[in-house]
Amino acid sequence: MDHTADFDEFVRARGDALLRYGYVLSGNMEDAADLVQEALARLGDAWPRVRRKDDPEGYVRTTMVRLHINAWRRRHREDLVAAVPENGRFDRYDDADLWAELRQLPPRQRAVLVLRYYEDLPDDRIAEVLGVSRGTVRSQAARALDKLRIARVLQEAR
Amino acid sequence: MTTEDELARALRQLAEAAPEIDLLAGVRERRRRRTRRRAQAVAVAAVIAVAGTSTTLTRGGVLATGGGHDAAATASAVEEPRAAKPADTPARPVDEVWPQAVFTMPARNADGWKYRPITGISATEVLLSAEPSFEKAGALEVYDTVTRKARVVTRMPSTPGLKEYIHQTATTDGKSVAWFTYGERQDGSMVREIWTVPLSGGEPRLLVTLTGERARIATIALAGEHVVWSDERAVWRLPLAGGEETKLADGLHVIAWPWAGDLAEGPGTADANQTRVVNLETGEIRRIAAAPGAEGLRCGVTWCSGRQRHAGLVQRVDGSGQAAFREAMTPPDAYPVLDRFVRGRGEVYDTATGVSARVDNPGTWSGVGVSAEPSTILYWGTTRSGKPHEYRVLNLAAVPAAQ
Repeated sequence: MDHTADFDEFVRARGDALLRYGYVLSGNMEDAADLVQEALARLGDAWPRVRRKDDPEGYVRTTMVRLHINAWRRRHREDLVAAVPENGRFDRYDDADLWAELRQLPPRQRAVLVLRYYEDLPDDRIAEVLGVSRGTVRSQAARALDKLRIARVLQEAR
Repeated sequence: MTTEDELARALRQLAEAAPEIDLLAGVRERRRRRTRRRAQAVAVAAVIAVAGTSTTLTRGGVLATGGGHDAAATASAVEEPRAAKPADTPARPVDEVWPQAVFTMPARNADGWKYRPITGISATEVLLSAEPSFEKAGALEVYDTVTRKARVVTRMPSTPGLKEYIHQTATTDGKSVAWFTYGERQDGSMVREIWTVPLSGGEPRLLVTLTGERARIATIALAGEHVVWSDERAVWRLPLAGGEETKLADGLHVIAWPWAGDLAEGPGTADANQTRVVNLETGEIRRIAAAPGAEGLRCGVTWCSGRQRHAGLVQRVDGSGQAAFREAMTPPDAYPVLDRFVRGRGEVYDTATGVSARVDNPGTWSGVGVSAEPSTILYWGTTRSGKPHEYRVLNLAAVPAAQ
C-alpha cells in the first residue's frame, strides 16, 4: 500500500513549524534542518504504524529532541562556548543576547526550557519526552533559569 | 532576562528566524540512503561479530558507532553536502585556518597593568592600552609578535582640574596614535580633548579641547597630516601641526579613513541600515543596495554585514554576494574589519575566501580590540580563568591577502 501521498502532505503542512522547533532547539540552521529531516525520515519509515495509532507530529518532535541531546553528547559540539564580547560597545541587551546565553546551556537544559516555554508542555510530559524523571526536569529547568539570570547579571555589571 | 514570559517570547522570536528549506526533497533523499545503509549495516554487523571488540567503523565516509539509528543521524549530517552558500561552510579552528595570525602574549605589562588590545598596526605589531584600573589607561604600548616584547609608546597624560577623566577611543595610521578623552569640569560641563603621539614614542601633544556642542565627539581617525573626527552632526578636520578645525562633511560619520557612512553610533540606530559609503578624500559616493529584509547593515567600501530575519547576513555594497551567516547571532553595529572580515560570536568569516575560522576558547569571555576603526584584534584567555596570565590573540592584519 502506498502511503506516500499523505506522508508528503504531512511534511508540507507541518514542515515549517517543525523547522522552527528545530531551530529553537539547536540554535543554528544546519542542525535544525538536520534534526527535522532525520526525524521526518524516521517518521516516513514508521508512517503506516504511527499514522494510525499515534500522533505523528508528537512522534517527530520527540524524535527531534532526543536526537538533539544524543547527537550533542557524541559530537562534543564546538560551540559550547558562545563568546560574549567583553567590549562594552555592543550594549544592546536584547533577544540576541538571550539567544547567545541559551546557546551556552547544555542541550538537555536547553531542551527542557524549549519544551516548557516554547512547547508549553507540563513537566510530567517533558519527563516522558526526555525519558527522565519529573524531578530531573524540575532541577534541570531551575538550573537553566539560574544560569540565564546569572549570565545576565554578569553582563550588566560589566 | 527577568521573567519566564520574556523567555517564552524570545524563543518564539527565535523560531521566526528559522530557515525555509525544501524539506520533502531532503527527507526523500535521506530515506533512500537509509534503506541502502540498512543493507550495508547487515554486512557491518557481521564484521563486528567477528572482530568482537570493535565499536567504531569508518566505511565509505559513514561513521557507524554501534549506537544504532542515532549514529546514522550524525553520520548523515556529516555525509550530506547541502547546497550551502559560501557563508554556510562549517568553521574550522582559527589556528588551522590562519596559523600566522594567532599568537600568545602576556595579559599584563611590566607594572602588572592589564593589557587591553586596541588594534593591529601591522602583521607583527599590536597597539595596546595598559590599565592600572578598569578602563583607566596608564600607558600605550606596542607588542611585537616576532621579538615577543612590548615597548612603551607613552605614559598617558591627564589634565588637572577635570573629573571623570577617561581616555577614550584611540586610532592609529601606523605612524602616529591619536585618542580622545572624556572629562567634566567642576560645574559638570563636558570636555573632550584630542591627543596625539608618534608611534615611535615621545611626549603626547594636546591638539584641541572641545566643549559645549563641539564636545559630542563620537569617533576619530588619522588622515595623513590631519586628525579627523565625527560628532553627531558632521566630520571635522584639524592639522596635526595645530590650527583651527574645519568642517569636512555634514551628516556623515567616520568608519575608517577615508571612508564614512551615514549612520551615527548610539541608541536607536542598531536596526537601521546604512545607505551609503562616502570617500571623504575624493567625494566618491557608493549607494548601498540592501538585501530584502536586511537590518542593521554596516558597510565598508565593498562588504556589508547585518541581520536578516535574526540571522547574520553578508552582502556586497552593490547588493551582490548575499549569504546567510552561519552564526545565528551577529553583533549589531559592527562594520566589516579591513573591509573583509565579519565577526560573529566565536567566529570570523572571511568574505575574500568564504572561509570561517572558529575560536576555540577555553574560557567564558572574549574581547574585541577597542580602536575607533574596526579593530583587527580578537582575544581571549589561554585558560578558563577570568583573569588569565596570557591572552591568545587573533590579528586579522596578519591574515595573508586572498589568492
